[in-house]
Amino acid sequence: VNGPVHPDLEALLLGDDQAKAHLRGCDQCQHRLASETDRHMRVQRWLAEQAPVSMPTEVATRVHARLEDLGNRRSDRTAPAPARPTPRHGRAQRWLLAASVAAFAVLGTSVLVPLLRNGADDPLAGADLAESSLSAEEASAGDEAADDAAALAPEPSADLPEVPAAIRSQAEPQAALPDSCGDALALQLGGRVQRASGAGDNGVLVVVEVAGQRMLWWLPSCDAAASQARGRTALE
Amino acid sequence: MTSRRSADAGGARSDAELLAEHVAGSSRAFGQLVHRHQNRLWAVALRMMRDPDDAADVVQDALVKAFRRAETFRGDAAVSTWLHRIVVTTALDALRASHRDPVPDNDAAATLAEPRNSIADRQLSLDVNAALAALPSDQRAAVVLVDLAGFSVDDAAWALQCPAGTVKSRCFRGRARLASLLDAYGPAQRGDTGNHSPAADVPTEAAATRGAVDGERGEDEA
Repeated sequence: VNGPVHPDLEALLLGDDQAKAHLRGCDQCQHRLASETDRHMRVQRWLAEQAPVSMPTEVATRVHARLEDLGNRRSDRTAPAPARPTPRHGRAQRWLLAASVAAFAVLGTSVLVPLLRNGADDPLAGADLAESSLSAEEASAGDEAADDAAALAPEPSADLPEVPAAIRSQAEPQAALPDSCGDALALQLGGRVQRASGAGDNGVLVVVEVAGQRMLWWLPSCDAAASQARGRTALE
Repeated sequence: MTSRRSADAGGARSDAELLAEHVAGSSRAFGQLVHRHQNRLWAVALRMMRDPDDAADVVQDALVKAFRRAETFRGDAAVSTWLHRIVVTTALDALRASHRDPVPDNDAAATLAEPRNSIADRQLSLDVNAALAALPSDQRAAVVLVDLAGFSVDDAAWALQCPAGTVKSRCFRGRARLASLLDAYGPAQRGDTGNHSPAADVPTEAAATRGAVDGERGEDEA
């Protein structure tokens, strides 16, 4: 009755320190542990010998379909949003367009209307609206030279309005427009000065592009451009 | 030891690499990872739940959780252990929710007594799922992970979120219970002659999982 207290099997099997100390001197517990260990090993062997289990095809299909669905949803969420179209006209562009229209309206009434009213035979009639440095002799000499050059000049391009021969003759082809004059013209016209087709004694022939539309202008008031085209000395 | 994963689907990429690709946004990496481990995950779920339909639900729920929480994996265990941990946790939650734990002894004993082929050779076969169903869920989880899935005690402790000593204790009690069930049928019925079993020559579930886990751990340590 007052014999040694044997530890329980769990303590023996799990190697508790006190159980191990007791086990060294207890044949009964050694036998008990060996028997219980054998039973446990038998269970472990039996469990380990179970044939591998494969996931049934229908379960695998279902699981992978669910995961694929999750993947697609995640891809949709993480995909970058389609880029918003850039506004074609910002506020500054709209102001520029409105100013251009207003400028064209003013210039149209002051320059083009007199030109059209006087006809192609007298293209410089509009010059009275601005300063002109032409003398009568120079004008007549220019007219004669223009008549000669007009016969040899190529046909005007289809996208440009026809320029009177007298003006074309005075324009120096592809003459560069001075920056100061170009800026002044751009400010005056409210558009982008594309190029100066020529600058002659009576002014400067300018092609202006506004909102994709090209327009041809003859501006007799740009003395600097005329001087530059004539002798390339006025601004140098 | 050559890792089993290199021969599986997913090419030469490790489990950790596949998981990292998934976190980075890959749409196929997680599927490859699941394909690599789905049989062992299924086995654990089936042993825990016993019913195949319930096991399918558990596996799917667990993998959806893993899919969504992949970025929380910190790498302090093998990816396969992490997946098993989620499956076991999901199974335990499902068992608690359904109040099916444990199966009454009488039911388990009746199931165990069912002969597989009683007329041919009168050899009784013990259904492992039925035997495991006789255990409380915590003991069942420990036995399934350690003795069936081949996890080390430490890995099982990480998966079950309990100390290693607790896993040992649960395994001891679970094996003792299973041993009493086995003893009830005797060596002849369960085919246990005490000698080496021919079944040990075929690849077993525990051996396969043990190889995979060991291989992965070895590479992780490298």
